[in-house]
Amino acid sequence: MLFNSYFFIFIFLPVAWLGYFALNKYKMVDLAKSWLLGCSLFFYGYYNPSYLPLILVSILVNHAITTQLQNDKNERHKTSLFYFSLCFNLGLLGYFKYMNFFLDNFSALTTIHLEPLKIILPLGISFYTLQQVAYLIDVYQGVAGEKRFIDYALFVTFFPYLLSGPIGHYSEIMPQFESLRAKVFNYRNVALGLFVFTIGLSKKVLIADTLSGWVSDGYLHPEKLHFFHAWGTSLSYTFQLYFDFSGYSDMAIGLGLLFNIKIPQNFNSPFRAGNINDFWARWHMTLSLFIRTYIFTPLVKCMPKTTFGYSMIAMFLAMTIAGIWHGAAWTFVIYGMLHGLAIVIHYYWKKRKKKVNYFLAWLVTFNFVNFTFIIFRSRTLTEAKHVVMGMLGLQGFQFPKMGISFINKLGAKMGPYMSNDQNLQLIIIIVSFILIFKAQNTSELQESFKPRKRLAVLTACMFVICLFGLNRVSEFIYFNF
Amino acid sequence: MHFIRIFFLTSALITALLLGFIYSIDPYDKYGINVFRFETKAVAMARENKFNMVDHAKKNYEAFVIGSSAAHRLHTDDVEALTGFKTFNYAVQHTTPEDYLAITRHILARAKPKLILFQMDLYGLNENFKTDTRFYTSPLKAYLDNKNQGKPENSWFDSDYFTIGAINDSFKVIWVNVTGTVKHLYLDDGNYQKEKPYTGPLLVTQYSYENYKLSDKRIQLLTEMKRLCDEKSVRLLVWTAPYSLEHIQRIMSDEKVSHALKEFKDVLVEIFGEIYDFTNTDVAKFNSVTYFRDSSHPERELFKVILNQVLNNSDSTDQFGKKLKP
Repeated sequence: MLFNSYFFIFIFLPVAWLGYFALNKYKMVDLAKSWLLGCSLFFYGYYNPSYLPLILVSILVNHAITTQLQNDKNERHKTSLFYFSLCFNLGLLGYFKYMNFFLDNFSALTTIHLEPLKIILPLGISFYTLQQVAYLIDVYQGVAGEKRFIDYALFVTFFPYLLSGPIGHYSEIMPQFESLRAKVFNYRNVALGLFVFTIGLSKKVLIADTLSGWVSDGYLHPEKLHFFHAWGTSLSYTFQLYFDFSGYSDMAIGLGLLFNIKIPQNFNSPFRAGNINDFWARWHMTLSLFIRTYIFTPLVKCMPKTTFGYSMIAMFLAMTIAGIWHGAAWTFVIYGMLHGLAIVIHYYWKKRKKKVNYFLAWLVTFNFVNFTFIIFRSRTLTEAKHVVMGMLGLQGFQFPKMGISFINKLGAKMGPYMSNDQNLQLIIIIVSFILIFKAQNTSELQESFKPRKRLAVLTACMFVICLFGLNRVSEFIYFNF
Repeated sequence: MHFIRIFFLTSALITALLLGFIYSIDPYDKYGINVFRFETKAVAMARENKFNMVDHAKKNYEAFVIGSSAAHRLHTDDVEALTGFKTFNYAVQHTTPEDYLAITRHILARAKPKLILFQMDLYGLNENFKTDTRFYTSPLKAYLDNKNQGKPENSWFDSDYFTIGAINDSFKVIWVNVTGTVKHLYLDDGNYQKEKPYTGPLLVTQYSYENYKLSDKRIQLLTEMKRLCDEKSVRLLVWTAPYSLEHIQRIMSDEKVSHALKEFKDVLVEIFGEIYDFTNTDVAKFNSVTYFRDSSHPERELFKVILNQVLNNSDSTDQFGKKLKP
């Protein structure tokens, strides 16, 4: 089920919300949690009920293992159990997400031809697997623990973050469900939730979905992209990805607040970053935290020595893994490697203590990110190469038609780009730049939120405009990962 | 509590106001409401316009014309004069076989046609010629996906009116009527707007055959179109779109494109069994602005010649309109 659909907004959400608070009001706390769990599973299975058995098996196995880990006093036994469960989770993810990628590459590298398997990638598997792996590690290290199945299952499946995060930590989320305050209607949280949800919906419906048409159009025939068109395509995708994913995260945070649950922030104006390390501290923050805590740190510990050089190797490997996590394709591997390499270069630069002008640093960072998003979006490296060639003017340079018809009279070739439709694209790209640099981001807006009448009217206006835009319902980009 | 109350009340109020505004304008003429007595409501793109005209047609059309903008000036009166069939011109701009199959399905879902006249352009089978993005945002798209083919419900809630596009188009309707720039792009029966006679030079336009490669997918779409017509016993008459002499000569002088043209005709013969070839140099005798608006858009006068040939099943003595068979 999509957040940006009439069914979700007008039926599912009110029913789930009213049911949850009604049951809590009559002190049926466990039943309220079960209700929310049931609603979350319905939300998940609404797309395709065949996804349900897998998530249920995953939850059951992980719960059984983590309970055993908490009960077991034998360290060796615990370690074996821990590695078994790690293999189980990664095996599940590996099979559903990477098996065909592996078979393809195996066939390409050897003379043995292996037919791809008919595997449907279950929605959200990357997210709920990461969430459970994080919990598993925390339990193994003795920093978290939960024995009640209902609590654990609700932690994994809570519908606002189930499909695309933000990736929550058990210690962050579950104590909130236990709190007495979470069980009663909280006026401020509901007002703030509606406000944040509307911001997210606007980002998705008004900006990301509008840009998506031009992105698909550009990537359909990348070899035909001229200079302006190529830049338009790549910037459109960069902003589409940001507004789509941060819009989803805002909606998830807003929905969490309606249930009195504070879900962690996922974005903090990433395009204002002056270096690549800063970018990752602001972009998909919960994934960055996961990479740092559960991949980078263990990798550093595995290195022969704790030196700067080894740390950099660990960083590069961690970012490559993060790239692969996004999808089973070489483009994602290269995306991860490039970011890993950029972070390593940044640390070496930082070590030399050379200062760079902020604008120059921002320009380099933004363009690097924009460039790597081309690889991220492309189905093949050839496709990415064409977009980059277009941006460099190597596939032709045609003037846009915008108000410079006199150039035509001089005999210069006028491009097909910048029709009325593409004037709108340019306007949206400019608006996106302004929003990214000048407007307060969602967490800043949340902090300064005051439930005033004027703001309520403004939020309602935005909400209604979005409702009228829901006819072009589209999936969120991160659903693919 | 104020914020939540105001939020919901304002949302409900604005929604009601916007819907009231849209319904009172009725931009797609779905309910026949015209509170402000506007002269025209034709603000949507061709695909939406003609789709709605067919969806809400009061006449029982028996013949349809399918093609690109090159078939815009084929007048339905000329078909009716020769066949006696009430005819609708369903030609829309920048079409490819994706449009043609969707339009055929839409026609078959809404009417009981006896005859379909289909003009096919050379560019349409080129794999590297993109399907118009306007097709994907039009209601025809659902017909390509073979979904949503039920009769439109006579409901007072129309989801097309719960869109930003409808708000936009409502304002457009007001704008074109208030500013007096009313322009009927399509008239009754899908006929093209009235135009002043063209007196300028016959320009070569829409010469776009870059990297021509026959598209297997589009061939399949046309095959499906033919199958559907056979299944419903609809007579399907197919011809290749005529181009001006300069346009044809440019095609012939390019080895790749002239080869593509030959392949294009062969494929059409293979799919439809019999076609009329109007894409050749024997167009010379009609090479003037009386017969062409520009190199790829024939005038009504040329369509009279074409219809005469196609509907009377007469074989041409020269190449122009020659019947091609397997």
